[in-house]
Amino acid sequence: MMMESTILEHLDSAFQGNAIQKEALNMLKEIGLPHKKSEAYKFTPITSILEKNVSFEEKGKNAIDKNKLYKEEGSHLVLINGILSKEDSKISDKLILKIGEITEGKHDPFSLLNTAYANEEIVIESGYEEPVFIYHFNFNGLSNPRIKVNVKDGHTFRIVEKLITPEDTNTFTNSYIEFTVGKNAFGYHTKVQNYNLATFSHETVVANVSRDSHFYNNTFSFEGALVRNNLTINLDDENCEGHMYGLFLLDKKSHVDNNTSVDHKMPNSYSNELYKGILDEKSTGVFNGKIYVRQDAQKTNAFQSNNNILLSEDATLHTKPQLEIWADDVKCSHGCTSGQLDEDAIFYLRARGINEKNAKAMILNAFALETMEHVKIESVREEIQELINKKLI
Amino acid sequence: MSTDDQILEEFTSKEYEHGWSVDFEADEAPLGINEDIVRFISAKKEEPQWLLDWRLKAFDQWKQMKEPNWANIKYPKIDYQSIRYYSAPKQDKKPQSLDEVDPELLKTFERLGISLQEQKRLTGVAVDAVIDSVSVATTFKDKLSELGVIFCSFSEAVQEHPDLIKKYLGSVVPANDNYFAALNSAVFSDGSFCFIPKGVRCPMELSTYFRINAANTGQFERTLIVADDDSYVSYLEGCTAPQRDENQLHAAVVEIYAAKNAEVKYSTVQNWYPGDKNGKGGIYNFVTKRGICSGDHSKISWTQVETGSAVTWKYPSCILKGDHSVGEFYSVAVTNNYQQADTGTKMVHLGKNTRSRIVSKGISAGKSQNSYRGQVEVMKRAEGARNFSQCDSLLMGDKCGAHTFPYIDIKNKSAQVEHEATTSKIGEDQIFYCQQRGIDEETAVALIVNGFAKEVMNKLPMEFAVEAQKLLALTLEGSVG
Repeated sequence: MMMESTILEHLDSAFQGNAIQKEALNMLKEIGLPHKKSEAYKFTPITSILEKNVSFEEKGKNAIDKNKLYKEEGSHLVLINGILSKEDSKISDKLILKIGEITEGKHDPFSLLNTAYANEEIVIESGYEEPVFIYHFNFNGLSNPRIKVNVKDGHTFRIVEKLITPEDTNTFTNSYIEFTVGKNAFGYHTKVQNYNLATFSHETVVANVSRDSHFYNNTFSFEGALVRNNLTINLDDENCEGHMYGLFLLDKKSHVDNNTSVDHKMPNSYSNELYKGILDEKSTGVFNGKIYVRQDAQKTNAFQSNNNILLSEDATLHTKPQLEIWADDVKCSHGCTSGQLDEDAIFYLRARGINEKNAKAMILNAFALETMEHVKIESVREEIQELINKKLI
Repeated sequence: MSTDDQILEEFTSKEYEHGWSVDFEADEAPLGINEDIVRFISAKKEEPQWLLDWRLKAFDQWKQMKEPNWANIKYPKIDYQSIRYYSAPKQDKKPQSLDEVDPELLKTFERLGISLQEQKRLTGVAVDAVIDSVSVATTFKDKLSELGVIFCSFSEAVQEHPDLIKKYLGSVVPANDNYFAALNSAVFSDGSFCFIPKGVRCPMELSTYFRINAANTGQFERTLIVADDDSYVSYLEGCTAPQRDENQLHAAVVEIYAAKNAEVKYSTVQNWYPGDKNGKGGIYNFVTKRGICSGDHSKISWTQVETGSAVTWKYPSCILKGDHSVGEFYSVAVTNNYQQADTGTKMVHLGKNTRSRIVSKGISAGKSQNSYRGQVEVMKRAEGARNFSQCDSLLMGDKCGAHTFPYIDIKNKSAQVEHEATTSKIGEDQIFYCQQRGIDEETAVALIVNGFAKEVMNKLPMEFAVEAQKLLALTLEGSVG
């Protein structure tokens, strides 16, 4: 408890928000940041990391690397330390964009931290079919980018997010993105997390899905000193679908923690989740998937699967697929496996003249590929495939 | 089919079958817990100094511990000062044979369906019966001692085999392991002790029967099973309690030690009083059970059928220390009305090529909550570890809940771990199919539930399987529709 209060006190002096932010700060002080014993953060000691990095100061500015941007039609938003940089961005006329005061957000500690210290809230209104690419360039000790996306009734909306941080200095990013998906609409959200060992991040994604709508989240993690993904999908009405697909392909001392939760609130909804992990060297992977089915949510179908391969003696995996079910007329299942590469499969390939390294890469590539099914934007697909190849070969 | 009919017929209109109490004069400690009580219990048992010291140390540690609150169960705070920690049926002197045992007591057992008399010889089960806190009778002792098997009450073992007790007590579940284990270590009053010597295959099933009889009493028994090299034993445990409005506490500890090539099979049918239809009364069952496969090629298998208790908090676990050792956990947990169960297992793989298998079947009905909480941990040097877990839940009624919390922690790349879980209700089509063939709804449900639990039931010893099957039907009675 002592440690937390020092962080919060330190932050307190930097506070300059509006009434909602003040309230969020007070709530945060009351519940405190998660500590080592907190169940949800058991394997990810994020508060102690935050303590070391807490500062709003800029830690050396890199020039915006334009090569990191996708060459794809659509809008490209560049955020520097959570603030939209209009000169670096390319915004289509059809995109409705508002930048304004901070409004309410989720009430878990890190969302509250974001609410309290975000500099601005970017609201993206859809009505627009072209994809929107969001690039976060963060150079600060602590940045709190905050985005809200409203998908209008009957529309389809695609968002791709990417975080770019310097390699030579530690940064902590506490991002927050909230989707409100209207009726009969589709929302696609893709995240590519190829960071470095100086990058610490806590990334919250919230989706509130209305009647007859679908929401897809794809998260691909490749490297990061400590990355925590908090994904929450609220299926608020009947006949909704939530899809979560993820891959964590880690090496070095990377640590990625995927914490996902889907909340079935009303009848006839469907959710599907597939997370795959490949862990090499001294990396740590954490998966915690929760399916929550409320009493009213009869006729729910919810499926979850988590498969992992450990490649090294020093890799560690923690997985906890969790079901909490309060309704009786449901079909829910989860499965999770962990193992190593199949010797027979490697032998089969080697007997056909493929060397061991390539044989392994082939098998792992096939293993990873399944999670990419729902990435519809060509250049993003290509980038992910490239990153997978780079890691495997 | 006819057996299922019979079962339902037999239990229609029956509630908790074992809900009677018998008044025999009891030798009791005053309510509450303090150092004097611990000393009182130890003195009553005429224990050596080292055991008293061990108890006092555990009590000290318990005082500093906090009641765990992470389990998915809710119950009013337990007032540890309003519980009686020692209650023994009064005996003037130690009985030498069954004839000298209080006839009232023997009647109790007959009502329970365990006769300590000769007829037990036919079924070949050796029974150690524990009422309230004290072991009252052990059968077949002579026959077992011919083989060198020690099977007696814990207090007797303390007197007669102090070296063994000293060596193994707390070696698997240390006194300060958790809140309830510490409490048990401080105030445990009796229990069973079982030692199988080298190379002996125990010829009969050993069984302990627990019963809480007196009001306001907590039962704190301790079971210690030691299987030496190349030995085998199958151990059964059953429990009942009278129907009372207030909640009673049961905090037991079971320790199993399996040496090289030893195999221990431990089966429980837990049928503590679950409380009435409105959730009043019932037993709080907070039990620590753990076994260690200490030697290579050893095996420990837990099989449990949990139908009773208002609140269950129980995780029989295996520490797979020896290379090639095997841990198994088979469980059926049934909850009805306002019962809450948070149960599961923990498999810790330490040795090379260790294997574990978990099959857990949860059935919830009424307004009950049923959780599976398990952990599979593969440590760094556990080369070639293998685990398979399956936990299925069956929901009956729209106000009950089923939850799973499986933790899987892997630190070795060669580990192969699989976990799968499903949750569903009994399909309308399944019931329809049965009804079409003239099977009424309630029988159909019993049929389907028995099929659902079959995999675990098959692992139970014969005489237990029949009892367990009846219990299943009884617990779920009236929960259809």
